[in-house]
Amino acid sequence: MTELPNKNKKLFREENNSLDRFSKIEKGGLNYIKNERNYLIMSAFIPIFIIIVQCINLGYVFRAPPVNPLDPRPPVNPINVLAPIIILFVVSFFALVNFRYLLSWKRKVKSYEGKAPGKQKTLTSLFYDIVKNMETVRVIFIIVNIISIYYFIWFILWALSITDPHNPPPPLHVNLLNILSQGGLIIYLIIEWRHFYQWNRKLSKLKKFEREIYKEFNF
Amino acid sequence: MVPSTQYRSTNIIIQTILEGILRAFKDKSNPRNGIIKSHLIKYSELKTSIAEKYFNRMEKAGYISSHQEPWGERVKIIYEITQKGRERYEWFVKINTELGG
Repeated sequence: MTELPNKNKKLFREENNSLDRFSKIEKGGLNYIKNERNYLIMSAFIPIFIIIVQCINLGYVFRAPPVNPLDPRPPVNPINVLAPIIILFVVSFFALVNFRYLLSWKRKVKSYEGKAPGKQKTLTSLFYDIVKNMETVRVIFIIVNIISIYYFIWFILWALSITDPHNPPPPLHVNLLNILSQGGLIIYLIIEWRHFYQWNRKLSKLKKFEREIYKEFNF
Repeated sequence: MVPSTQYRSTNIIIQTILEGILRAFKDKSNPRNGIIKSHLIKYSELKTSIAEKYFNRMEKAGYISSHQEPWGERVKIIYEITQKGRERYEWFVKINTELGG
């Protein structure tokens, strides 16, 4: 094998080193993007489950049988109708935002990997796309939290009304579904809180980095 | 006081330029240790005048370096990434990836 001249050897080593380092960076970046994709799938899946439970709740509120077939059916409490509708609306909106973003993002990642037609994306634009999305989702998440507190209060009051002799007790499967829905919502909120706590730290680090770069350039 | 959106838009351009140079290493058909100026402008999706402003500033800040290569009767300007530029890009990726998921 012919020996490379010393200068070329150095260049060859530098090139390979840069290629290895970029491949490593790129791999790390894409792994992170896949992690974020899993988060988004989870983020959309749990609200869908809660929406199904709320639809069953609404069905129950309107179609609940009277305690005594001879007595007239008690009138529907508007709060019991309103609470699931508000939760349904807010959670659907949150899920929809995440889903819409998931679809557009999937297309962008494919474009970065060169698997989709059209203009190729950059890793930087993918990162900033996530940052921009998370900044928007963070605001919506505050509303989701407020509504969730309202939902928990409503659920406690609703659960207490089960013992009310004037109101018919809901069937066991409705109770179980609601308990599952509450549990699901609590787990979902804990995961989201943890995620947003990490994001807040990350965003402050990114902002600090951006300021430092700006200073280095002396714009 | 500079608005944070300005910090961000500047950083997006800088990181895209650094990424463009680093990504050129992946291109097996690229025989050189850098990227041709026109290719880098295309990759960054910037107007030539704005791209040149950024290239000059990045060279002054020590993020990139340039040299000329003869190309027939004309010359091509090649941009390379420096150690400092590579470190800044790695730092940027690290911030973005370390807390992901």
